[in-house]
Amino acid sequence: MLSTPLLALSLAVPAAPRAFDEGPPEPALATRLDRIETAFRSGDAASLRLSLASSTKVHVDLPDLPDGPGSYGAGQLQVMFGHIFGAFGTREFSIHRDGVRVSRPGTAFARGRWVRRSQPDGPETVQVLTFTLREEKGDWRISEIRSSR
Amino acid sequence: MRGSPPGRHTAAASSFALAVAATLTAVAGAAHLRLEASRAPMAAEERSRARLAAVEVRLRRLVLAAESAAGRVATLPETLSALAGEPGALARLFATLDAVRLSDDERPALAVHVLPLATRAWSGRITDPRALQGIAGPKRDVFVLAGSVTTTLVATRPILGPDGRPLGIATAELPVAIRRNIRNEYLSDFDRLAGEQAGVEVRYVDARDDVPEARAFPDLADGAAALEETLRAPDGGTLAHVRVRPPSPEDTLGPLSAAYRRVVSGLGLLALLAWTLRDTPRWRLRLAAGATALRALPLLLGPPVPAADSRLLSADVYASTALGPLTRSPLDLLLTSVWVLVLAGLLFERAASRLRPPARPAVALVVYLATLPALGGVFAWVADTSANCSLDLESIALVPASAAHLVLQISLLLVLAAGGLVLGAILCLAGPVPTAASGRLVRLGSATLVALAAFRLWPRDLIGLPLVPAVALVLLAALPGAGRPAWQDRLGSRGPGALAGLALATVALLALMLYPTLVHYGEKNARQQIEHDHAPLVRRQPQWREYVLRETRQRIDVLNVLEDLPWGSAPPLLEELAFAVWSSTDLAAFGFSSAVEIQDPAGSVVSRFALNLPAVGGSPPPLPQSDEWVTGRDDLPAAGGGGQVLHARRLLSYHGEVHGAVHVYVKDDFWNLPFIRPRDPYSVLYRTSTLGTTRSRPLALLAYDRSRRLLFSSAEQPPALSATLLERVRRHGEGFWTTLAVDGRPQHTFLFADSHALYGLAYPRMGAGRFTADLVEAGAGLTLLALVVLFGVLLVRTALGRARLSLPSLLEAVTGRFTLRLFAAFVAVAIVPVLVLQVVVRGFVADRLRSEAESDALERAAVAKKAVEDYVLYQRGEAPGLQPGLDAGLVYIASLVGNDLDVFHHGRLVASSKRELYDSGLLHPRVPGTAFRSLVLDSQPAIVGTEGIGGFSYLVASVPVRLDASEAGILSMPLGLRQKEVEAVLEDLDRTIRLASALFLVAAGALAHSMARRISEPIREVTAATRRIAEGDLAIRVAATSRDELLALVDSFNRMAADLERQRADLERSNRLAAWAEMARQVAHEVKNPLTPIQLSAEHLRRVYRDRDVDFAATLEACTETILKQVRTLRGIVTEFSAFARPPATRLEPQDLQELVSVVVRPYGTALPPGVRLVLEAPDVPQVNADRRLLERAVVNLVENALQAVGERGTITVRLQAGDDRVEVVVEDDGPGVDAEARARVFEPFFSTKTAGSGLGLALVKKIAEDHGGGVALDSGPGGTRATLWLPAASAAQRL
Repeated sequence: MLSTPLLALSLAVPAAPRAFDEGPPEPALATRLDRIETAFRSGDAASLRLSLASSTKVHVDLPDLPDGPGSYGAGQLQVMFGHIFGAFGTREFSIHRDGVRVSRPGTAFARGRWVRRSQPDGPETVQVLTFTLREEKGDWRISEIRSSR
Repeated sequence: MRGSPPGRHTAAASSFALAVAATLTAVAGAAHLRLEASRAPMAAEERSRARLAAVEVRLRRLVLAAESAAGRVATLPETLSALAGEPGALARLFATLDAVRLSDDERPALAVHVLPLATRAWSGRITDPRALQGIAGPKRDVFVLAGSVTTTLVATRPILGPDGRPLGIATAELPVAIRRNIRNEYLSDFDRLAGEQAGVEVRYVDARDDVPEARAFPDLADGAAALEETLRAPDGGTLAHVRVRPPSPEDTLGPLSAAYRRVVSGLGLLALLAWTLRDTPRWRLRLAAGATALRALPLLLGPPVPAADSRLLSADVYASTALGPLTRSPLDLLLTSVWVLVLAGLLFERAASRLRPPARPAVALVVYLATLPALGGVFAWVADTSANCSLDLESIALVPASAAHLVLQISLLLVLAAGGLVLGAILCLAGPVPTAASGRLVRLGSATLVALAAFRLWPRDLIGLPLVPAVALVLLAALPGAGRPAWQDRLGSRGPGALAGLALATVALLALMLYPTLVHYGEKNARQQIEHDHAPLVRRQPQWREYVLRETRQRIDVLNVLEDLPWGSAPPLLEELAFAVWSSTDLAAFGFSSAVEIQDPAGSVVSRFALNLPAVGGSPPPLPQSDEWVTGRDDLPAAGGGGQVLHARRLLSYHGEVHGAVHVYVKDDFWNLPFIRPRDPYSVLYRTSTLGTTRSRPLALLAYDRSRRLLFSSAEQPPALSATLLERVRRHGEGFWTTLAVDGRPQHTFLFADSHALYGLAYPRMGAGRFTADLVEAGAGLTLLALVVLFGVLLVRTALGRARLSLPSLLEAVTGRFTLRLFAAFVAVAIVPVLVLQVVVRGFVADRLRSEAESDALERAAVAKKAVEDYVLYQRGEAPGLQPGLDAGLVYIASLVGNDLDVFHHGRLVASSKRELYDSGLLHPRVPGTAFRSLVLDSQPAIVGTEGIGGFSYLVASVPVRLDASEAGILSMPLGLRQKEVEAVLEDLDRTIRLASALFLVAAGALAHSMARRISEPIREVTAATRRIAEGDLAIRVAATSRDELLALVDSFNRMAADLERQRADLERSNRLAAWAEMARQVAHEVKNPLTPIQLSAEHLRRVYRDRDVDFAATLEACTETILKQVRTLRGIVTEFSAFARPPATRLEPQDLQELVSVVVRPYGTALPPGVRLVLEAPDVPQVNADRRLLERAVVNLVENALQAVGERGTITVRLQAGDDRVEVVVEDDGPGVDAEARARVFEPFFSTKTAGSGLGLALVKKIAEDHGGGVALDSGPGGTRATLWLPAASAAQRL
């Protein structure tokens, strides 16, 4: 597609330049990720709210949202996740620590795998969530939750 | 005594009945649910079979529709004529196919193919005939084509010639499933066989698969039992496999339980409402308790309405935890705000009803300080709502954007109203404003001090009060308390109409406070979002892009692209493959400008999909060398928009065999950011994210490098960055706010930087004109709503049979008052032309805009046509035939004409500047049949039609274009962007027209009211003056205030009044003279009678004295006796006259009539004639205020008259009775009665039916009664006479 006479030099390198800090997350970020996991596993929307950005709306994209993705306030999300946790019992939730990427300044990406059932004996669904966390005064808060493909 | 009003009993009975109904429903529901739960296991298989049967029914219907359509097409006369090559038949066939398709409810795509499978005519989206090779033949068949994205049910029928030889194939196609992984307002995936129900899985069997039938579904992970079935075509071919899971008990019982809960909740609410609204003495407590119960019941049982999936119950729209469970949805907020308003109203009513003196200054200061928490609470609630709501609450339009908007805005209005009432209640504690100037000054000083302290010390970060609305709310709340006794009296004297007007005015004021408050908090939230969320998103974009690319590579690795497709498969299968790969990665999920290319082992690109990344090159990229990912950066040519892309690629090899390669490109831009409003109208089709901006704050992103060169702009007219600003941004890297001219208007811009670039996030600044217009619209909209609610209240009260504030009372008020009738007529006359004008103007402008858009499009299409023909000619110069790479040329030409372009040849797409719309299957790569027929077959110069992608419809302008000598091609120009512009203009026009209409009606109404008052005022004055004249005030005159016909009316009236006054004076004078004459006559008559015996006696005495023979002593005795007797008679006459002429009694004291009448009547009992009976009936009656002496005189006169009437034999009854606020003394006799002529005159002075008497007796009774505020009446007939003397009871007289 792009190899026309007009195309400039194609810079092919074996790997992309490193844009992330790799390695185990820093303590504050690790703590926050632990709390997010706990909140999802226990279905505690109030706890999850404490991990959300407090001063701005949070962008959320989940298939459970009838109106589609959007930006929501922390209070709103507490109620919404309360409904989601109540409707879908979480069987398993984990954030792969090796997959956490921190870019400077103050942005981290993490992926969580969420296994849940729609009914007590119903089929399980597996969903991959991508969390974007932002550092606010030494604390990390969720600014985005998006359902990945 | 009066009994309880009947309405109170009805309300109590209704409440009880509803409560019983709710209880019985709950019990019945519980029993029903238990029964269903016990049956659930047995019914599960039954339900599974029912689900399966439903799937089979759906399939049969689709198959029947497809077969029927194919059969119709195969037997059309036009079909045979066209295949026979008759002139004009092909064009007719196109038209007929369109008609057949549109007449079918399923709208199948229809086609006529000649053998061996070349399409001759079509209508709708048909499959490329190459995909049918080897499958479709001249036979009756039904099969499925299952692509990566689209699954289609195809029915074929042979087209047979007159000799029975097959000439071709007719096909009818129906899409049965779409899987784009896209969900937005225009598009969503569907499966027509599986439907919306959970638990149904369908796997379609592609007719091209050679795989023998095998078990389609793996075992269920949870081991649950399921029913499986194979769905077959009429000829037995396999179409699909379906598996149905049994419904869980929750699936069955859940809706039933919800239905019962809603019914019980509804009945319970009605019962509570009936109980709450009963009119009882302790209504305050009842109202408070009832309102609380009405709020609590929906929390326990859920609301009866609306449906569970309504947006009014959705936390996605609004939810907050600030008040616990009370504000979990828009409906919750409404119910809570109503409840709080009721309680606040009761609090205010309680506080306002207690009269207090003006408080001391210190107390007033404390009261003012106490208002601050209440004020802060109100606005904190509004701020919290704004922060936890997804809607654009600032858009308060005449026509609400949605029910959710309406509910939330009404709720906030009620919150403000409740806040005002609470503030008012607090301010009532300070009492009314002192009358002394010094006191008022001290109060003003205290209030000012508190206000200053509040706005200086208030924690702005916490709440941040909007200044003007807060002050306005406090002033509104303070008004009732300031002059309390005055407004209470004034309010009490007003009718319900005036109260309704006051309510509407209050709503309007509150709406004028609400809008600026919402703008204030909207602005605050927007800025915070931009500073703390959007700006960091922009900064992290490069890392985010790389992160997503990394995840995309991992995702593609597990897709095993091309593994299951051996080389040599039909190429069309691969057309959707790149889109399928792209849409299954985060590139689609997060909307990056990106592309996926699939290469075959020879290096040819067999499938490509790109979003906002046009192909501008002719040669494909080189095949990767490794099956490990290699990532780098490529530069994009200027024709492709410039910039760079991240490029990742790898070989696709499986089991040691190379099947191809995959390339992934991600462009360095910012169009994926959720808050950026794209310029490309079709991008909304791919976005699954809603914009975070509002109608009034569309965000634009600008990016500059360190040399101030523009790197990216989502605005059409980005500003240039000055050196000063550049320096300032460098110094304040974290960002600052300024104002820049973006898109030609001033916009608030947040400028910030990172190590690579400088950025700006801008949104339009709201001008004063726009703010005022929106403010007026908000006030008008909410007031109109209040009017509708008021009308609803009138309807309800009419239904309940209430007399006041009901429709009949309104009609009576309107028809009974000339002013209102005139006002209503003026407004009614004004409404009709306004509405007509609204419709006409809107229609005219819309048609005009569309017509201009079409003309403009056809002009540009003509330019594009020339450019395309020249380009094709240029390319052909190098090699014969259409060359690949026409897409690149179209991209360039599209940028010149400012519109996307598509080129079709022989009905198929050959080039497009928007390939992704076709590669994704959103658009069909075949020109619409209508366009082909018009431009190619009928040789028309141009055509404008309508196309649609899901719910997204747009106009398409098409012109013929010469590509080669074989057949004209078609150049199409979709007008999506222009259409969006037209729709935006029309939307603004609609708002403007609605607002202008509303303002015009308000102005017309005000003018009508003013004119009506001016017309009716003189009439009202004349009416009032006439009433005064009827009451006897003939001195009244009406002032002339106009110079028109009403002046003549007023003059006539005044002349009439003057005449009446003069005539009355004359009449009074002549009456007085007549009365004097009558009295003189009576006096002369009465006095003359006694004078005659006096004179005779005196003369007799003189005679006897002169005649010494008669006994003088005896004669002297007799004559003096006569003289004295007559003198006594004269004295009695004088006394009577004197009593009649006496002024009204001045010594009124409470008199016990029972005792008085007994005292008067008792003496008569001993001196009655033997045949006369006197009966006294004197029960206990209320006291009267009277002069005892006069009252006794009146009773005596009545008794004397009765005694004279009965003569020597008869019965006289003296009776006391109590009436409505009066007491009656009735004297009844059974005498001969008084004839009618005499009855009319009995109360006239000096009139008498007896030979003896002054004729003043009854006249005196009448005068005494009237002097005491009462009256007397006489009822007489042959059987007797009844005289009734009545006086007002002492308690009634006091009230008067």
